[in-house]
Amino acid sequence: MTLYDAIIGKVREIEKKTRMEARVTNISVSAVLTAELTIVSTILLVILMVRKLDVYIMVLFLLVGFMLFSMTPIVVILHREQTDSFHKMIFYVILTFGVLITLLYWGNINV
Amino acid sequence: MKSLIALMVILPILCGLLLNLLHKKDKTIKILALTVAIILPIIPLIASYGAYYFGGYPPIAENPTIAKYLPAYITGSYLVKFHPAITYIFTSAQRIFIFILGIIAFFAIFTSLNEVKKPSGVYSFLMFMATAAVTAILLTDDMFNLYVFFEIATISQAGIILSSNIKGSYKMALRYLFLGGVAAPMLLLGVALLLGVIGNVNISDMVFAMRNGLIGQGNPIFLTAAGLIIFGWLYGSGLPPFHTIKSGLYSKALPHAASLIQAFSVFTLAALGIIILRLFYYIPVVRWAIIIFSIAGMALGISMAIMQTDFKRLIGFLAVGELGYIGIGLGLGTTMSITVGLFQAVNEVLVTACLFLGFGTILYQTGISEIDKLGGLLRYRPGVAGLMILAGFIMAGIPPFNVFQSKLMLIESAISAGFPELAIIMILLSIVTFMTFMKAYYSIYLKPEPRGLEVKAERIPSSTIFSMIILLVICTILGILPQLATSQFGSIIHGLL
Repeated sequence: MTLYDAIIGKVREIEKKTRMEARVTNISVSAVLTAELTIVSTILLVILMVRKLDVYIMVLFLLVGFMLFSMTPIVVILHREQTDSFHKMIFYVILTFGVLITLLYWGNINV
Repeated sequence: MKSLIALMVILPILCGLLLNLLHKKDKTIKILALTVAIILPIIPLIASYGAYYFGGYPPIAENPTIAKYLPAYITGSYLVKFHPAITYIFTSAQRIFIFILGIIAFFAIFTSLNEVKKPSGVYSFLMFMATAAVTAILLTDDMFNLYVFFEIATISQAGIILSSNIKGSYKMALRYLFLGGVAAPMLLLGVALLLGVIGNVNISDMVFAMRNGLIGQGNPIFLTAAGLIIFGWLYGSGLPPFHTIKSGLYSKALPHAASLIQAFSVFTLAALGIIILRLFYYIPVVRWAIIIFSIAGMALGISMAIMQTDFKRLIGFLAVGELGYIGIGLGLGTTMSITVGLFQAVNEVLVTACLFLGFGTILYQTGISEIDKLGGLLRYRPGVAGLMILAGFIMAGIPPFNVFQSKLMLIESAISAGFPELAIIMILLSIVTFMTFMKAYYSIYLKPEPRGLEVKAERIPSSTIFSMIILLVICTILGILPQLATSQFGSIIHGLL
């Protein structure tokens, strides 16, 4: 299955689950494809850039990147996760907080 | 004229309190609100540069009358340079920021008073309070004072959303407050930890203590404080993980209020970002954290924007995405990048305000915000459609406008600093921003008009069009003469690096 078919399939699946009434149009599919390519390119470039900070962090980013790429299309999952649900918001807030404090503490010792 | 520094904060607070008391006195509310809104951008233009000490207590080193009565172990120590009073610093950078904030506040208040028949004193009160709070955040050199105004700004913004009477606005405002209930105490905890380590909450004194070896930069408490303050910064500015709630907040505000709230976010990002750099510049991982969160904000904001079917949410996500450019400028940490980051802050405030007002005209005409249900609006108001496409071009970074200048300079700074990857990311995301805007513009203005679309009001308030034109004129002037803004930021950066 091509990436295009995979994305259309996933969009339809999500719409069924969320009972969205909107049709899958050319505009919506090209929007999803653009967003997907943007996210993938940004992740790759960030992995490349992070090597200047630390090789271990680059490996960590690489692993996270591979994990995300294995779940292609990423942007559909991101769209589902970035809703107005308070539970999801608070989950990511606490997750970010933990990662930030850990990285800052670790980063000053190792970088 | 230094007392004018304090007046920049006190005047909008006083006006807000008075408006709150003038319930149902419509004409008085209008006159008072408009008069103060006109004065707000004028005060920074006539105020003198310098420091304002609340209570009139300068550092002992600047007050020989007190110093001569003090024992030598005090006058001979670092204590003489410490600031005993809450201090506000006013430089050329603050001048341009507060001037632009005043302009946006004026347009927001002017438009709101023109769009409604019965002005609400409470609503205007909230707009003035939030403006005063963000002005104080820009001026203050005191961490605790900053925290207090940070909270006032948060509550006032939630209040503005609550007063908007848009479906779902209550839920969104409460979510914003709840998340603030997590993030703001973390910022306060960071301030408390710094107070514990340094013994002072004045930012200049903290920087002095660190640069003179009074505190070790590898101190774990100091590092935790850095993390906590960065976390508060993410909340105040709307960078991930707070980008969803911030874009939701914009979408539930009335267009003029959204244009003002986004200005609060941008200026909070710039002001707190500068403070973080002043305090933690010598910890490289802090600058990396700023860059990573900024990229995340850009990539998530812009990629979510292109997938939106509601134009209010679309512009909300775009506004959040564009914040990342400012963060990158600050995170790169070079003289040029910080200057351009701050220039981008000014530009983004202006163009996003214009876009919010422009999208507001569509809502005013049709009452619909779902892009799929709109189309063919070009024939009703081609002039407004023209202004909108100009604003979209500016946001995407098309020459010769101001955002083109700042984005180009940011790309140059990234390459000069040895980060070509960042330059590619910024170019890529600018293209996607352009595509997102054109997708929305085509669907709203150019696509054939859908059956059953009812254009309720063909006439758009002239105050909105006037505000959009002035904002676009400022964008064009700053595009042709970027040095009008960039030359103003030297004072901040000189003391930073």
